[in-house]
Amino acid sequence: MNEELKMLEAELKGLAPAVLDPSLLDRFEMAIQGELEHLEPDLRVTEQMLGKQAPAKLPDGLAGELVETVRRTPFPVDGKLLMFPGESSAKPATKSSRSWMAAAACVALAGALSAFFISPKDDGPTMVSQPNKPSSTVVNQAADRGAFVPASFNSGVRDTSDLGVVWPERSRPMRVVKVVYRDQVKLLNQQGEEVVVEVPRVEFLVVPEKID
Amino acid sequence: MKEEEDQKVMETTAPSLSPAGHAWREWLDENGPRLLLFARQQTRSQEDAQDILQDALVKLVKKLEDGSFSGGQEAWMPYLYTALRRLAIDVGRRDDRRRRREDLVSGDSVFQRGEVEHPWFESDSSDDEVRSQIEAGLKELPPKFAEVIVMKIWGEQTFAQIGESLEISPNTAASRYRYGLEALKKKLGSARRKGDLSI
Repeated sequence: MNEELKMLEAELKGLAPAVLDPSLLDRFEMAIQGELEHLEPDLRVTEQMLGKQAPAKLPDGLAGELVETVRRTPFPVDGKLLMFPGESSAKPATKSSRSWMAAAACVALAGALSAFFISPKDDGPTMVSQPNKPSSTVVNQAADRGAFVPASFNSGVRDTSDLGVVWPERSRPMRVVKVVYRDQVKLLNQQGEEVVVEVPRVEFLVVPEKID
Repeated sequence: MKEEEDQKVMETTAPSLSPAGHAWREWLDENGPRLLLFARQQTRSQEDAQDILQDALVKLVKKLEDGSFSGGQEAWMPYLYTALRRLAIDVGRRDDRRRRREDLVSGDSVFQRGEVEHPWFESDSSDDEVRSQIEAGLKELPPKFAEVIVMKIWGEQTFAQIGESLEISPNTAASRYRYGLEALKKKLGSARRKGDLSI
């Protein structure tokens, strides 16, 4: 090494690194002792004051866009269940000029369903015990007033679709099948007019998938 | 009143959400504001913040859909914070490159977009002064302190999670948090002495 560089080296060696700032030393000491996360009271006050501020809500436009981005993705619940995307099984209410008939049909449907479960005789077993017989009384009174009364009830599978296999966390694969039922109640009045009430019902069957 | 209006908007814009859609909506209502706050702290504008939040969410759902996401729902927030930070860095570099090009072309100073102010926090008329002082204080903090404060207080992340997201050690995260709080305390203290803050 030539003389110039030797002189430069000597000058550099003559310099000493700056002493550590006392606050930095305190910080190192706290880190070594695992006390960095413990705040002094005055800092706790500042922390609490900040915590009282709530972040601004998402703007409506952004919230809608984000929901649109994610709504087709299954939402895991507790790592075992998945909420599936897809159309809601509840159809939106539609306006109808025969809304009074629909209302009467709903009341009659409730009566019809309970009538199916209640034996017409006092003796014999009953599937659902009732303290009195309001449902059959309601049905008879409704018929007397010329309202619609239930005539028949049936339920059938309308559609099935295989939604594929899902892998819940730490569990075996499961095949998900969507089954769409159609529950139907037919109501008649004394004039022979007929109203058919159809209610779709969707069920998701989760079946363990066969694996090797 | 505003909550009722928000509820009406929700119902009209999403009248027939599936169970998954409703679950996502609830999750976003709870966590969206804190994620947007972090995105806002990481970027230079409300629009950039919204863009990176959407991009981060898309990344998450893609990983959920193709089964490559590691961890349960408790891992979503740390993942999103990491994604937001990386996206913000990309956006910042893109903006810097664009502004350098604009400087070269025009020779003028950097064009500043006119920006409508979007508060970072919900405002309550009785605390509006505190809110604006805290927001100003956070903006003036060195970003590496502010981001830890935002993640810790409003993101409710642990120092370990913060360290992982920011690629620093938990001790460094805790140190930056302390420094940030001390700096904010000084700023808010001087604002109180100047009479700007009634607390």
